[in-house]
Amino acid sequence: MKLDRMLIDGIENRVLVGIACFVATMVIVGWVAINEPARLATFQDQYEGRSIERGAWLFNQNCATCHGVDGLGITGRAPGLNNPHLFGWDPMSAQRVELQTLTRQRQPIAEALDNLAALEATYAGIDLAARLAELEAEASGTVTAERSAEIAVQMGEISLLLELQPQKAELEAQLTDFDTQIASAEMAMDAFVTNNLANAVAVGYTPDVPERLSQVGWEGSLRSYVYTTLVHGRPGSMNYWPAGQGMAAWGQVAGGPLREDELEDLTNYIMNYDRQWTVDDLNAVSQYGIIPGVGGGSDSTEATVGTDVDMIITELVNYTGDPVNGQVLYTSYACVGCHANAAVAPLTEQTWLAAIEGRDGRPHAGDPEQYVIESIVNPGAYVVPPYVGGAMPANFSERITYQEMADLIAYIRSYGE
Amino acid sequence: MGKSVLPFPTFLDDVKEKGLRKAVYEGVDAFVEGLTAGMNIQDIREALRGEAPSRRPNPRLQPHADTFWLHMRPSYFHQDMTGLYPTFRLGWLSTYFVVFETITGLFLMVWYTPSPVIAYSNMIDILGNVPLGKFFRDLHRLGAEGMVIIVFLHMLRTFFTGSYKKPRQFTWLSGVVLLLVTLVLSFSGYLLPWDQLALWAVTIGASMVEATPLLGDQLNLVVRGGPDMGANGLLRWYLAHVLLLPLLLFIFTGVHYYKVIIHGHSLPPQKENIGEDTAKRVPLDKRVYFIPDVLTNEIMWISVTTLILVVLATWFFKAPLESHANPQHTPLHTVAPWYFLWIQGALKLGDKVLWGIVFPGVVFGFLFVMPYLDGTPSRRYADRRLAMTVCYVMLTSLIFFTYWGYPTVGVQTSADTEILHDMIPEEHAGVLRPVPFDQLVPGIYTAAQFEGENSMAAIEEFRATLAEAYTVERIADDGSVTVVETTPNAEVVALLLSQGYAAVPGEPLNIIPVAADAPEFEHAVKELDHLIHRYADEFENTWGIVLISQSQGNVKRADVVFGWETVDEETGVVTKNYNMRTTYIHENSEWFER
Repeated sequence: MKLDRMLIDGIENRVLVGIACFVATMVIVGWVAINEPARLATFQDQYEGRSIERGAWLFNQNCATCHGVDGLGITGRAPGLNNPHLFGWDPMSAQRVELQTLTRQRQPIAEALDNLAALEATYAGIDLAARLAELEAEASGTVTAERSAEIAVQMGEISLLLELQPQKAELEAQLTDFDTQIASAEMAMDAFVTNNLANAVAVGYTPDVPERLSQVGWEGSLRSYVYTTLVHGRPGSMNYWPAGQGMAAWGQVAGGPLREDELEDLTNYIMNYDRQWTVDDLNAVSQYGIIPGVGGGSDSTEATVGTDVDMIITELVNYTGDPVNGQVLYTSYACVGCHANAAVAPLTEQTWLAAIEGRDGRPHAGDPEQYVIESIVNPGAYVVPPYVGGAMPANFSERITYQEMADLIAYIRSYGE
Repeated sequence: MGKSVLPFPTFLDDVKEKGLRKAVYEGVDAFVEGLTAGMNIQDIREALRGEAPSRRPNPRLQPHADTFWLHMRPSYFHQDMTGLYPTFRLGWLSTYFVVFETITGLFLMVWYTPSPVIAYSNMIDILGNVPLGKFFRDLHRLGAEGMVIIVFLHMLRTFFTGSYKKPRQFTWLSGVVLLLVTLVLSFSGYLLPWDQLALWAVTIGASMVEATPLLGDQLNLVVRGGPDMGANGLLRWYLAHVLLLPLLLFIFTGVHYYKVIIHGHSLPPQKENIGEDTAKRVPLDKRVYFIPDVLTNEIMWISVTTLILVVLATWFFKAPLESHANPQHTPLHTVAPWYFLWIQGALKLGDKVLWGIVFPGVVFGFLFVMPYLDGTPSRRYADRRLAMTVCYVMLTSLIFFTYWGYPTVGVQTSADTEILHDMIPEEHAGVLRPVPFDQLVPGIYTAAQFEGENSMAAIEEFRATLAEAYTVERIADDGSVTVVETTPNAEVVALLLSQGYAAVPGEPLNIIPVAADAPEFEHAVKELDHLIHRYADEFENTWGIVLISQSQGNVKRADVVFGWETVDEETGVVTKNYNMRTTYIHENSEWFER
């Protein structure tokens, strides 16, 4: 029958088209399948990248105010995460291995000398050869089993003593040699810390415990440490961070604001700080972690300024301010967050001059130093109109040391004179 | 050698009697005849060769009488129904899409858990860990959208050929049920990935349901599974998607098919006298038997359709996946699926109840009862002017409402938000993110670079403009007004400092030109310039900068800052404003759409 109105006339043509399309479909599916392993791998890389991007955004929104935009931490507020110590990088790992090797090699020599000294004390003033012959004669006679064991012990000790005595001088020389080597290795390490890691140590780096996980006694992986800290926060940490609010619980499961996938993103971002670390990275960190009762953290022995302005002025005579360091502090204490924006707070560059001119009945007119100190340690004493009081943290007096105060004043003064 | 010990002859007996070759052939032949319920190998061979059947009764009619699947198909078609016109194979293709969606859906179902905690990571696994997972997801999504189109076109075709008229009114009604089920099925699948697209599209749908008079609150609870969309809601939509709606779809497909068999395929209108229905009285010389002609034709159609779908899914169509659903954050341009845009458009016209509930209700209600309202006997186009007019009015309105439903139409968003959204959208790649990682050299760049002939001079001029001092009024709590003198530069520097950029207070910004070997980045900064010009009539003295900085070794941070002036028309006081948006770009990251 003629089917002239069917789209494809002739049954064989339809079968042919059908088979051709089927084969083409299978070829494409096969082609997709062959490329699938590579595509899956690429996708996972790309998706991890996306996750890190979202983590970066979350970090900037939620974490940067305490841990710093650059992740280096803020002094007295929260520890750095862009931090070799957190990732367990040890600048002195080679020296530490060498020191361990020396200590291990020294061990048997020290033990041998200890043995020798003990035996010499036991057999002091006794003719060893005669004593040995005596014991041998006694043993060849009839003795009890108990006595026989005693004799064996004594004969063993005397043999050892006779064997060691000639080596004594050599062993002592070796021990001295090891002690010298160990002492010099330890000195080298101390020197390395003093010369290269002074900045890091000043903000809480612990050269003896070069890894955060062993410092806190964490048995799990670093990833789980970061993730768990994000979920549950750090209970009680507001008590040992002088300027911080403590690490809050961020996970929704712990009553915080972040979903599980967001915590994963944040963890991925923080883990992405890991890289080929250098000593400079250690020194760049603004603040290391604290273990309550154990240490770490910033040098808390240095006195903070307190709120007595007159006493501070008296005390500051002993300090010289460094305006460059002052600028660094100005950032790490987050002063710039407000004082670089006239909409929020008086501008840094106008403060010194405004205090000198003493306009609008400001207190301490004409004495800018006193004015600045008072503004820092007691921010509510006078609020420049039209700004509103209460915005500036009132606890700087408990955070800033005299040297820091001198540096900050030098920095602010640099705009005015 | 004796016979088998069994009480009946075995295959071995056959072999002994007839020889191996003949015995095997007869065994296979009998199996094929059983499988096809009537056609042996020779019958199939003859059918596929286009020959007449060699034995009587015609074995090609037997499968229609004896098998389940073919009893739903007529054993012969009218010759006039076998062409592309009038059916365009749309009914058959709709059925094929049901099967296609079921198969691809079953594959995806294996990898999916309907829980807000894990659904999204299931999607990531399907895309990144399941071999062919992305392929099947793209096919499933493409098939869902294709099915909506095909089913809609099938309805249009039925309307144009007047095939809904007596006695086929109920066939039409069951078809409208299928259209509705198809739409809701497609929409219910939307929510399952638990991304922003899903959550907010379904939230819009649910809030429309909430507008229902009297029952709104209850219906809302039913649809969302609680006051907010969450675990219960997701489970409900999942169960609707994989159980309830497919069940309805299969049942009504059966009803629809049954009605088609009962009444026969209606002939093209011009082939019959007015008021006649000759579908069931096909003259012998007009009969085209289902086997082999229609059957091969239909299989060819699905083969071609599958190839088209596979080609599209492999190279052209990517099922979207946005970021994880976030009930706390509404994306800027929330949008319904395209086949519901017409309702979203209608909602912009006014009352939620009228346009969101009554209007779609009336439209679908009208579709349901249309064949019963239109009692005219003629199916010819010339006799159906009123019906055709109504149809064209409805189609035109559909296009208008759909256009009106686009998120950018008729919705006022402030232009600074639009500019930042175009540069760095919340979802999708936008302008800045696709720039190759190497071209994002840390620095401060300005759109003003492309304003003049000399880019360095343009940058200098821009820097000078930024440094001009101006005053702003600040009103304290007690109502006192102070005039503060500042510069936009100071504010931008403050911004940079607070964001951790190394900028020095009091000094002008170190703006640098885009490097010559960074064409894509140059394009992106130029695009910012274009956007600023596009919205130039809404703002005074606009400017834009792009800041690139290093976040981590393989992560860069990009900020777009857009600034403008507004003038108070009464006092003439000029206020300077800026708005900014930030994104991070990892060197490996790619956006799904690329």
